[in-house]
Amino acid sequence: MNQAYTMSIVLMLCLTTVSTGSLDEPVVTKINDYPNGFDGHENDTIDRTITFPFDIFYDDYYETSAEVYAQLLEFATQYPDIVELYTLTDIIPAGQTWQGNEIYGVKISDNVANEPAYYDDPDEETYFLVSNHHSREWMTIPTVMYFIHYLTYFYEEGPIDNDGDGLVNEDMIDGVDNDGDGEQGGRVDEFGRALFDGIDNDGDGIIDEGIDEDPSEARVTHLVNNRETWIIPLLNPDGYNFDREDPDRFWRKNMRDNDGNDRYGDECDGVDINRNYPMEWSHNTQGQAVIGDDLEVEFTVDDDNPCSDVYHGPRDLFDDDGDCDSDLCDTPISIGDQNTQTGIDEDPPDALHIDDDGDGMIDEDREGGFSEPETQVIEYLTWRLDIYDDYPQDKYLEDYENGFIRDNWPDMFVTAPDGDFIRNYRSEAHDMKHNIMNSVSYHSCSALYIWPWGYKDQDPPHELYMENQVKPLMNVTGYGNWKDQGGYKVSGDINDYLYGMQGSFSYTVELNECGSQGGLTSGFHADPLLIRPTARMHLLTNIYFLDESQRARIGQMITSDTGNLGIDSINSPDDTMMPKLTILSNKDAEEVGFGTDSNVEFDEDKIYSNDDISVKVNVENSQYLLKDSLKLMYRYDGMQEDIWNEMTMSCISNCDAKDFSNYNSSSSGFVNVRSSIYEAKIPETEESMNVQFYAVGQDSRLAYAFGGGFVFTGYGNAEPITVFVDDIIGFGNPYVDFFAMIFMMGILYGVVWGGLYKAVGIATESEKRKNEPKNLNKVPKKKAKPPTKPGKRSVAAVPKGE
Amino acid sequence: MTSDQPKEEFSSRLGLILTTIGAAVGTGNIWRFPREAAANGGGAFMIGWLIFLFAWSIPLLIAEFAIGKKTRLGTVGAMRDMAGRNFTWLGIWMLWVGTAVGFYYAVVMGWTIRYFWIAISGEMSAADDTAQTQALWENFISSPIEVIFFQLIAVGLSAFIVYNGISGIETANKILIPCLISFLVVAMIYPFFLNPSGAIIGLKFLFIPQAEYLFKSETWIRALIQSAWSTSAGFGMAITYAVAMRKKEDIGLNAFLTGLGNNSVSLIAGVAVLSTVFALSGSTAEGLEAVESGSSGLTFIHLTALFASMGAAGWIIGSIFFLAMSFAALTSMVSTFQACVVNFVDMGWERKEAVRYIALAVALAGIPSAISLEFLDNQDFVWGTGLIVSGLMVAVVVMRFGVSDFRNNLINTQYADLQIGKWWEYIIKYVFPLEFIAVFGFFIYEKLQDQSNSPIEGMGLGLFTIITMAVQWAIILVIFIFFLNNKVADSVRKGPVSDGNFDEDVLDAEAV
Repeated sequence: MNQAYTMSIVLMLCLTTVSTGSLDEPVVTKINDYPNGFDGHENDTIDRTITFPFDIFYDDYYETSAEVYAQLLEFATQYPDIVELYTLTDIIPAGQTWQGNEIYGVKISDNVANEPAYYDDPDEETYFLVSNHHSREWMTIPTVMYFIHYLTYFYEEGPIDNDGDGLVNEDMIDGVDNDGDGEQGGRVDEFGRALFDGIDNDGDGIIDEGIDEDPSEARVTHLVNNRETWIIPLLNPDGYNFDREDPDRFWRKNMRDNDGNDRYGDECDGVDINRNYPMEWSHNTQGQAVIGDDLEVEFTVDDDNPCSDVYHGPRDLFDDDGDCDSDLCDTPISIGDQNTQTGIDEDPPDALHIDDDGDGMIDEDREGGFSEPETQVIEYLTWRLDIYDDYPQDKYLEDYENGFIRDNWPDMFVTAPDGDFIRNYRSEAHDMKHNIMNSVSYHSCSALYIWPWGYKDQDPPHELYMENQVKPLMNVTGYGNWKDQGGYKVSGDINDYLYGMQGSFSYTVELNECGSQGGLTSGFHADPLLIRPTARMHLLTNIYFLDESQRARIGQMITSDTGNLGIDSINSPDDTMMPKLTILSNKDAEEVGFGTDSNVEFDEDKIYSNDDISVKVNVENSQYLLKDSLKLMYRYDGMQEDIWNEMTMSCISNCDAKDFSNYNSSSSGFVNVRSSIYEAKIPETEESMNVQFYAVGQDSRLAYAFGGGFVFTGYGNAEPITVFVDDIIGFGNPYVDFFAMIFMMGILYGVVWGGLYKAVGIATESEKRKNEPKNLNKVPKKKAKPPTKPGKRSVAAVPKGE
Repeated sequence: MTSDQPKEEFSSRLGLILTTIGAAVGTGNIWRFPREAAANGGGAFMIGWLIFLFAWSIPLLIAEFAIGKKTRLGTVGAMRDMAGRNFTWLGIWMLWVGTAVGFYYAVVMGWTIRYFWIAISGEMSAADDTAQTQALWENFISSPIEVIFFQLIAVGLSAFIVYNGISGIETANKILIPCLISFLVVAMIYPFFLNPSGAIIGLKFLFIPQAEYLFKSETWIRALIQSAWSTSAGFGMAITYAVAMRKKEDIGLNAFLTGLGNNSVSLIAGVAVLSTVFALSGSTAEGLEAVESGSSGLTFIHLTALFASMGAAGWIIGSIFFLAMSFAALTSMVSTFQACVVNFVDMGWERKEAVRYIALAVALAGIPSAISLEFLDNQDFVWGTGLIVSGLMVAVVVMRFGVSDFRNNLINTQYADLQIGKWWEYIIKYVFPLEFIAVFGFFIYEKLQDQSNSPIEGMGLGLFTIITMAVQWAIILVIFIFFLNNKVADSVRKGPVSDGNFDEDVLDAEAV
């Protein structure tokens, strides 16, 4: 025994050492720690079964840029009512990329055929999708192309029974196997995650079967009609072509001719266009050792060195606001010499909106960014989509409908009164009434969701909102997140720009694992067999963000006088559709708790010791409640502080996940919204005491993301309910009670029954005596009294007859 | 008529005791005692309940037995002979109050018979939650035809038993009381097989003394009320039955036997009801809700639902329980009848004729109570309280007679098996008046506090009921004192002590 014990100790020590030792080695970022993850699968388990008819286009091939363009053209031709194809390079000064390519984008919405170009309907939220900043990240392109296919294919279709099971719309794009016909016939896998994860969980060789296979066509129609989706599938065609030409190049940047030798693709050519946005551009660039906002040296992963893979592009050197008097200042987008004049780049865009030069204008002279045609496409597009007070969108539409077509967009550059050529600075630059609510930039690889800030560790003002918004996706996809990974910091990426300067909740999605996935090579040039699972998985990401756009409007940024971004935080369950728990009274199921500001008023007279206390919890949005995750936490008086007993609550009302009757196409976000009532019984106590309890559950979309996703009664922190349990009988001690009971029973039965027994005894005795000795003539009766004296009655009852 | 007298005698002591126990044991033992005990601190209440058995019930029973045995006349004649001709109205009061209680008691007995039928016919098994039993109850109570039908059955049964005089009553009680007790014993035992832990909660409620209740005056007053009511002491029942006592019969011991017997039944019923309630209820709260729901609520709504939820066993136990209720009501109803009949027989009526007319009168007079719960409620309070006043009258008569005299001559006769000590005199003289003030005062106080306005148990309508009580009492008393007193005093036949000679020797001489 002892030996075995020692052995196990030793073994444990060894294991500890091994695992500790591994910490010293460089750790490859590994997101998916689940034992049934992609890693280790040798066989090709990718299912090639067709779920949607257009799946065949995403079989095993990455399209070239020309093919992407041809496909986009086909969308625009085939679905002219909802798809409009834009050549985005037409709106930038250069008119083309460095190598003369065009960058295309599509806008998907209803009425595009009847609306002017770049019209941004104020009533419809815009979802902004960009793929392929980095040319070698091939997977990003089919991911969004698949989304276009999905939207166009199902738009305005009647309810189709896609999987032929007789039900329609029973399994929406939500990453949940709503109809329970999937791999594990339910909502979540054994780890609590929803099953649409691109993993062959049941090991039958087919992945994700029966999940999201019969989505709602009405939802697609609704989203197309009520949203505007901008998609740029290929932002970096130069680099993509270059990398496709020879995949061994793993080319990341664009094709800027940094060395000016008129030859593209040299070792030191190219700009990392995802470092080429002006927001906090070159903030703490590696090598400069600038102290950050948090007073720590935090290098961002970007570089001044053109040869670097993360070269952020040249310095701006342009006097955007025209306050530099030197002639040198007036050259737009100058390249080359370092301009050292004062008044150049003195007030760059920063997260805190600091007026660096104290001239009353904020962030009006940038240091860098937007130097490349690719990023300028983003700049000019967002510039056009902004809502201008002096030229509102509805005026634009009205003019267009009246046949009065004019290119009346504000020019990006204007001539100042003093003749300087300057950027058309808008004082309301940070008050853009913007319709881009959510935006996603696709990248690969490492299976992560990333959101601002990119350039520093601190949370942005909308951290909680963005975190909560993306948590459900992380749960379903099994992806991690950049912040928890402690990922490196970048300055000048698109997220910080779209969030910090355009007021959009902007996410970067890193597609796929970096090593191998499902036995297939992943990484930048992932095995094309991974296209379909990836694209199908992120159908969810896209549909979700598109759906959420309306809700995200509340988070749209405003500029306050203090220059702070936005509202403080968003932490209401209504905003995030997290399950909301409400404690119901144990007695008559009236709503009494947390949902309102009232205290729980249990009728104290009705809770007794020797009774289990029944606690009911109403769960709104219980479709998102992780199965068996709702726990009733309770503690009795006298228990150690902060120790809570835990009990799983069970659903007693409205529990069926397969009830499609409540399907609502307009308001509920297209899931089977339901409220369920759960119950648990706190075990009885023997004596009077206070009992405290609260309930806590997990959002199935959030489970295991951020280590939880807990939903308490109320929201945020749990405020326990205290009830008094009254031991109305006894002395609080069962033994004393028992003794007292026996004692009293003894007295009562002793007196009553004992007395009765005695009396009956006497009676029987005397009956015998009276009946037997009749012959004795009553003489022996000692007790017989002497004749009583004549009555001295005071009352003389004299009957009348006398 | 005088020749009837020897026949009107109990054949045995057992018969007498069972009959007086039958009079004492009523529905109150079953549906009131357990609730009162549970609601007033269990053991704390029981202590008082036990003390007042000896400090109220048994002394009064002793006095009643003695009066009845000595005067050999019903309450009217007994009061005339004991208190004097001018006080005959005391007896008329006792006669009237007892009969007036009988009017509505027949209705209540009708309910128990109806529910026995509901139970045994299986109708009950369909209603296994309180909402359904509530509906069942309201349905029944709101159809006067049905209620009156069962009231008539109750009157008929009672009349049938009384019809054959004391021998019939004795026979009936010799059967009914053992049956009643054995039924209750069955009902007491089975919950402990069904759900021991729940049944023990019932025991705890009944027996564990809760300290805080020990020092509440209300606990003691309620114990006193329960004790006074439960044994029927002072209501004239014992006088009535003592009339038919054999000459050699003892008084003191019989009073003890009656009182203790009654309380024994209460104890059995208490355990039976509370154990059933807590064994079958889902929770203590549910059980308390049943206990708190009043006599009729407990019995006809909650217990009915609990029985129904038991299935086949509930069918048996429920039937037995309601049969026991019916028996308890019947024996009490019989004594009420007999008290009335004896007085009319004393006034010269032929016995069987008297039974017929009285039955008819009771049936008719009970109809308002059958139709209106509120009326029944009102009558219950007015004449129920009147019964306590009857007890006072018995005590007053004893005091007028002379407490010591009464004890020495009327109680501790040569046939006494148990000599009653001087304690009895103290209780009648000093303790009883205090008790009476407490009980009567509390009745009024409780009435004034009551806002519940619930039929039957809540005795609602507060002040209004007290006013109606005063008015009804006043009317009755005016009639009795000023119009009926002399007439009735004259019409009642002479008894053995009507000549004012209470000497034991006279009786003895007569006997020999």
